[in-house]
Amino acid sequence: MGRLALAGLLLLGANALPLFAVENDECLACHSDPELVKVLPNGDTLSLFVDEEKFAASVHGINELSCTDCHSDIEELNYDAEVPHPVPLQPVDCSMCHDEEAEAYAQSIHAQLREAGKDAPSCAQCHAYHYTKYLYADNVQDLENKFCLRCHDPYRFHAWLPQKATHFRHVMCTVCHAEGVSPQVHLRVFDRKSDRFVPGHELLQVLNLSEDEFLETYDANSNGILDLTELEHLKAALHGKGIHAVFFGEMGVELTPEVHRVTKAKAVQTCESCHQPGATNLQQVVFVLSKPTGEAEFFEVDPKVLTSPEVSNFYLLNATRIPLLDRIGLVVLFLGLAFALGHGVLRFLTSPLRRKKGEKS
Amino acid sequence: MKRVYLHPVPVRIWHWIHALGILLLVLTGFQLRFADHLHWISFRTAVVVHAWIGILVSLDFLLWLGYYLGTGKIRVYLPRAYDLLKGAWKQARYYAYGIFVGEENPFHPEPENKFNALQKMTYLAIMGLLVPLQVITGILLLNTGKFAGIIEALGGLKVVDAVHVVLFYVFAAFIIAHFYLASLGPTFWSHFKAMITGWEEEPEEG
Repeated sequence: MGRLALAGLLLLGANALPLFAVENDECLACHSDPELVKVLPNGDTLSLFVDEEKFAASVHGINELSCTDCHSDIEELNYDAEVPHPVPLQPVDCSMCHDEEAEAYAQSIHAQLREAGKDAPSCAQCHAYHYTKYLYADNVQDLENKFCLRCHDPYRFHAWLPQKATHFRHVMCTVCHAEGVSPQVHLRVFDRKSDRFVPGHELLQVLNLSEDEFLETYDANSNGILDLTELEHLKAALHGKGIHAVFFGEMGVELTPEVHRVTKAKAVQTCESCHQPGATNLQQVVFVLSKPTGEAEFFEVDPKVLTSPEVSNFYLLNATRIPLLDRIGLVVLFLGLAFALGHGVLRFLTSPLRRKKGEKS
Repeated sequence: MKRVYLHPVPVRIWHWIHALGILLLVLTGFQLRFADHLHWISFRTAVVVHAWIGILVSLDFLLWLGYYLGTGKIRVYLPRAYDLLKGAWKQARYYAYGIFVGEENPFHPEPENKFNALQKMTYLAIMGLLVPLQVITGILLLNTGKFAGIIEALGGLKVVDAVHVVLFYVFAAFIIAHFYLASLGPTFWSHFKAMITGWEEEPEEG
């Protein structure tokens, strides 16, 4: 994956890069100037400013990448020239590290459109140039606001889809619009009192637990899977701390490189992919603890919890029906049928009595 | 046989829209709830058909309510003191015993008093409580995104859906019992015909 490739690049860099590698400080000597701009042929200006603090806080900054790790066509700086590096620079090739993501992206509608000269996002449009962040969020809507919904209005399409608002709010676009992803149900804590999803770090804070302690504390049977009883204990503990918790389920995907293989033509249009008991999309259930950094921890959950009334805000028609209701229904139907049949049969059997009475009168 | 005009035109229109609507709602309801076992129509078609018929039946309910409240005839649904004990007992005894031995039905419908004690109680519970509850939960389930706040306040999607599903089974059972009871007129088809023509045939007294 990307991180391995990054480690490899850094390791390789020690030998492969020129002896006097360009330091970030040298780049920032010019690029920390907020007024540094490039005038484009059409007269517009392009800011060349890089905010050092924001870069340091980015994923690449945290991993201590140098400017030239990405801008690899800068091998040395020539201070005698007006601009000490080649102009223009080659576009950054993210696939040097993120090869699997790039491979998936190359098969996406976005890549196909760009190849055809149309306006479509490349890596940076979603992930930003210099300030790349982990982009996970506390719920699907917040997540999609960072990605697809920045460009797409889902209501303009999906004419065939019932319950649009619910699907758009609680199903990640990639569940249907990315080939090869592994959909999963993301369970999160929703606080009825404050009417919001509770971010993972807040939960840990309230429970006074570290990330590592969370599973140790609530996975009572230590099988690595949170089951219904264990979730009930978690809910009770949160109630004790003033959080009126309900487990809110949303459809998400496992965050693998395949999420970049965005498709329009091959989008899933079969309701049964989810709306079917035992549907593949419902086999993976995870409890999500989001972090303020945009990262998240995922804990495996027993899929049986989905048909429990306890997970009161995850109901997929047909798929997560509560069996008890159908048992009650069966009794009600049986009573109706038994009354009609029983009474009818009795009338048939007693018809001689009525005939006799008719003859008498 | 004497003839009594029991069911005016608006009542008959309401009744048959309701009957056909509820039947289709029950059938599509089964399709939606057991799409893994039943394959009458596609899941999506069942969703759409169930929703539109639900809206039609809800509007039909308003027709019923408007007619009965507007004309003041809603009184035919309201049990009187007599109905609550004596009337109910006599009618229950008739259905449980008298009907088998050839006794006369103790109740004789008139336009202003067309339901027997048991019918009044049953229909009042259905039209005054169960149908409105089904309409309300149905409307909430029609757009779970738009009504998320109300659904949440009522205990969540599963709670609202559970009410809708249990009532669905009650209505399915009601259709069976209602159809059977409708056949208990002077002839098998008497009550069915009355709901089409408006005129109920009643055996001459004495």
